[in-house]
Amino acid sequence: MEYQPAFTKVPLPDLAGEAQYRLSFFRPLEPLLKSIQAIGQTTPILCRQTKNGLELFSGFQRRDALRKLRKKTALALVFDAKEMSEARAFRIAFFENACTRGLNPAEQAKAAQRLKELGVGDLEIARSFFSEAGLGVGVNTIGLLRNLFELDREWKQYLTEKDLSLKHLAWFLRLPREDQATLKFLLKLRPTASQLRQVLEMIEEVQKRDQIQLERILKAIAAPKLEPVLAKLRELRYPQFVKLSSRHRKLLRELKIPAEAKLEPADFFEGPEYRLQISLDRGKDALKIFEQLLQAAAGPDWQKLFELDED
Amino acid sequence: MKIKRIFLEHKSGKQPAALDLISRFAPKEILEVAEVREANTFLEQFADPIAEGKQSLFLTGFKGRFFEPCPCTTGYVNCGYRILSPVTGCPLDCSYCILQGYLNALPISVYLNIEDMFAEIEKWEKAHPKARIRLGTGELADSLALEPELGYAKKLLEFFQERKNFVFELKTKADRIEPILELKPSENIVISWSVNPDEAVRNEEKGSAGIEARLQAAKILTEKGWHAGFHFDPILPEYGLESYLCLVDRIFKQIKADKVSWISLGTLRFPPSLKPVIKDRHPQSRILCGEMFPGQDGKLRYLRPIRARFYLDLIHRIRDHSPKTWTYLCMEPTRLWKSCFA
Ligand code: SF4
Repeated sequence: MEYQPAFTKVPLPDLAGEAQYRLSFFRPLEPLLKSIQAIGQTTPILCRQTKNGLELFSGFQRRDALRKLRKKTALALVFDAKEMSEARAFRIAFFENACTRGLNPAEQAKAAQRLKELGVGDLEIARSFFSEAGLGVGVNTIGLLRNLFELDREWKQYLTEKDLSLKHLAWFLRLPREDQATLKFLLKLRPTASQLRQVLEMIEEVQKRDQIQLERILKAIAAPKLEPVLAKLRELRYPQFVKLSSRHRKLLRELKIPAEAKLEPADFFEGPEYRLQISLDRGKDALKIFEQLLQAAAGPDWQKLFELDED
Repeated sequence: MKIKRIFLEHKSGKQPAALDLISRFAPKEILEVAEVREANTFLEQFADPIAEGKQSLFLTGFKGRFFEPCPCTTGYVNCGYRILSPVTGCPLDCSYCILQGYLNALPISVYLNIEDMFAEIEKWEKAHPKARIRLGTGELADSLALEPELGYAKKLLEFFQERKNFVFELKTKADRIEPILELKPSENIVISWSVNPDEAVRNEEKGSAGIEARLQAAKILTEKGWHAGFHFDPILPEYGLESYLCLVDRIFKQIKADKVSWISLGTLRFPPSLKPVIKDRHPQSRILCGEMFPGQDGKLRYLRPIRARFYLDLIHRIRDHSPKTWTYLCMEPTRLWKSCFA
């Protein structure tokens, strides 16, 4: 299709279109601010002229930066609404963003939601938009993106900032809103991406295994800091392993194994084998460490290490 | 089992065997392809290509060896079993199925040249006249899920009934025993069922026959003189020890102990690479909730004391019913064998 847009200046306060077309979320504005300050606006924003006025459909970050710099107008390409339908404009906005800087999960979620509103089916969204833009989002993920779109802003921002993959969040994203809200206390504990993934995964697995309410699990792991939450969760998730490990640690204490010697079970207690690792440095009395070890090995409790099934 | 489509390899297209299978499965679509990759590409356009592949057959010829030692891993006790694969892939959809991440073909590959397979076995038999081995077709496929349309089960049984050096096993989670009922029972043939408690079957073994139907099928066959085997494999501890012990009781209530040739026990194990597939394809599954850790072969296994508890209690319960039934562990280290059978 041949477009005949007008290249012109448009007044910034008059631009509508935020809800329909904006795809950028949680993106820093500073680099663009600096660039516009240094060399001015070099790329025009894209607008539609409708009977209700001007709609911005691509260039929201540029518009924000210009506003911040107290500019009153922006350079724009203005298309007549008759030649630039809403669906067409959204397609341009999608590809302009996706192919230049990529889309974070919150942006992908907005795109999937908006495309649905425009009457595009999931298979077409996956194929003609995400896959064509090289975003690697399969049709199965479109549903998850919609769940992400529904998520409250605080969660959405955290998950986007931490760049967690949707596949790892599938269980969480499918939870009822109330449960997602109950889990919000986790954000206050400031977990890293991998810690949050671990926590959510363990909660999911305990819930599935024990077929119990989320509330009961959260009550059992409640703590003001992340470390004890993780420890309690591990105890719930891996009760036998935690039991074997604490029995093992108790034995090491009883055997008076020196701190410089690490005596760890091989292969997660699969057999009665241990790995012994000793760290020595010039300041340490090597002989004493070996003596302590020999003493432990000669003592009556040493054998207990190899009796794995004893309580 | 409904087969939606058949992919026909160009070079196999005109074979009577292919035409025969097409008429028996009566698929909605028949697509000619140059090779399996083309079939894969076609199936990849669906939301769940694996599920779609389970409803598709790929008719082809097989050039490799049909007959192989069972791939047990180093460090674990090998039971000497051999596998025979005239079909690879399965229309059932078990959450734990290793084939989901293992085969290069998405559709179920049905090898049309099974006469070559029989020739291969005859050759092996001639070269090893004194050998007596156990073999079966249930490793890379379910032995009965595509019957009676496929017709291979009957051919295999007829072939092995004559060969007493082999103990041949059809292993299944289905109840399609029609082809077997057409034949006379034989001492060297065992029809075996993989079993799990009802709840596990419902939740983890999509498309399979319910446990009652499997036991009924076993009852019918054993009453006609066939031998049955049972595989508690994979045992899924998430469904509770008690439900497994009840299952042992149910088996021996319905099947006469002297007709049970063997019972194998094996807890779930799978390579870590299967985890995302299970999560993605079987969100309802509970099998990722166990205390599983990587073993010597890199596969995830339940913590040893959990496995030992299940094995010991199951062995005791089996012994209570039938002290003589041959019971063995699948893919477990010597140490565990010793402690379980001490
Ligand atoms: S029956 Fe066996 S081959 Fe078929 S899906 Fe289940 S585990 Fe896989």
